[in-house]
Amino acid sequence: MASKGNLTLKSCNGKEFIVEEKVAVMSTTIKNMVDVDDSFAQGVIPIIGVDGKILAKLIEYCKEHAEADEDEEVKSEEYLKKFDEKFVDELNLNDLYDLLKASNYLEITKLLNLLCQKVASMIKGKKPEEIRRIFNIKNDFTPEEEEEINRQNPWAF
Amino acid sequence: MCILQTCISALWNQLAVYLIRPLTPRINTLIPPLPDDILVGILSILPAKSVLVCRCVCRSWKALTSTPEFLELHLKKNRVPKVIVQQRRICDSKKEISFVDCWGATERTSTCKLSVDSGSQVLEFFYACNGLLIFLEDYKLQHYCLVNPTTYQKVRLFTPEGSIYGVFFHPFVKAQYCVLWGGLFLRKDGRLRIRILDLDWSKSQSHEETLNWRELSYDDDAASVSYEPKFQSPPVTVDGVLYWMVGHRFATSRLESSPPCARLPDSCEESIMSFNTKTEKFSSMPHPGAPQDQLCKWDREHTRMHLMNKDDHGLLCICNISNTFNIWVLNENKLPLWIKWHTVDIYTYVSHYPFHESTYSVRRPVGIMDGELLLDCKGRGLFALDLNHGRVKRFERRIKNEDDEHIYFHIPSLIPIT
Repeated sequence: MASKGNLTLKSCNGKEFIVEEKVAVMSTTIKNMVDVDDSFAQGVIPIIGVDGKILAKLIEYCKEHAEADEDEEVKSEEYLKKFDEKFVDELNLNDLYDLLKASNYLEITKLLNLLCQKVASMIKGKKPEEIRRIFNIKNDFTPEEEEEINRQNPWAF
Repeated sequence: MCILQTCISALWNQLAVYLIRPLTPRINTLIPPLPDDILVGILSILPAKSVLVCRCVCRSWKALTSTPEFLELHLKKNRVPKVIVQQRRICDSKKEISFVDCWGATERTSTCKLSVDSGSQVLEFFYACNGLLIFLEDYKLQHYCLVNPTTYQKVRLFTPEGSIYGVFFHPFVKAQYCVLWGGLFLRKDGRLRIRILDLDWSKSQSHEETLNWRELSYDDDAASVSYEPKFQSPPVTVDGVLYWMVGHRFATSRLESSPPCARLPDSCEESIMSFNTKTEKFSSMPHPGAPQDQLCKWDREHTRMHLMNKDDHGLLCICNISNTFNIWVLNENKLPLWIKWHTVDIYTYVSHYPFHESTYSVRRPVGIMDGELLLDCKGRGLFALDLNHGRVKRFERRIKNEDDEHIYFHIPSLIPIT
């Protein structure tokens, strides 16, 4: 049972995390739940579909940012920028995707934007075949279609 | 309370459905695709060029990046002009346009070149406006050519005599261009004929000659009719309103008796025109500074006044008197209409840079973004002045023949024109 001001979040594989309310409400979805029904604030909030590993990551991110919002002196803008960079650099593609989906569902806008920027930077300046390889995408164009696209887009490469 | 519980349980059910996907067992090498809404969010923040590459990746990416909704979103998220356009003459009918990607960087990061060929004798680069380049193909017949350099599309406008006032985004239809055109021929009541062309790419337009111009009907009691923009000066778009400095119609100078509305207005009170793209109404306003200023006496065309877009939400007017640039910001809600924002002494910034051989000593502001003024000083180079901190950056220019060079801001746009 979480003490006052703390919330308990439970991952889909049963791991429980006790976090401060200010950290948890960085997620608009959780904030809305707590606002609507007080019982969530006392009980356990199950985060369906997010496993313990990803939830731990989410909490790590939210903790840094919630603390920075509270006290700008301790965690400066520069510190956060470095933290964000390190945070996304350490992710593999699977985790990146899972975090994207989780932050989208939990509406953690700041994190979602950060992750989108990260994926965008992986696409920028690459050729189609490189993008397919990175993201494991199958080329489903017929050779005729591909020729047509290349004819239309000669300036793109 | 009962309703609340129902609501919450419905919410949980929704969440469960939504989150089933990540739980499905996953083959190690194959990563399940991202949901479309997340993918659209990512693709829409990419530069236009990267989006074109993404269209070649697979069918679903191509479909996702081709909807009008995506095109509109992409434009919204890429509103900051990062590129400037320079033109070089190869011969009269061929122009080389280079796009210099340098805004906000101390050095140019990339250039890309586009050559535009014309079947006609002359091809004059008119200006860059809202992501399109406008060329004048034939002075006499007023044939224009619109090019979207990002999608490489070209449209020829065989217009009845008159001139293009500007291109703008359709205020209601997603992802569509419109052309505002002022005709030389008058209506019965002596006013200019104003036409709008919707470049509706969803309908196939087999013949460019059959483009569907729509004549603007304006009320008889409309306070203002249109005065023409300055030659080769693109209108500035702020929140769906086009603004331009009034200038001489180059075509009417050939006419023996030009109609009053095709001449310059009598007073500086009407020196700036605006056209609201939503209401399709014109209005006019005075330029900043006192009308009795020395400037207007010898410069009735206000050639040294330039309108600019302030971070996409405000209108600026930059008045250049000798070495001083006065920058005014429009305050539409109350008087005074124009409020002085900055005064910049250009000489202190640029005088210690060497003056290269050039017949011009023109200093023309190109644009303003994030408190930086981009200034084209022919002979000395291209400068970015930080208005708040007094810092100056100089951009190297590679084009030798500066006489034939025009520099404009450009927002790469994926919106098709044909």
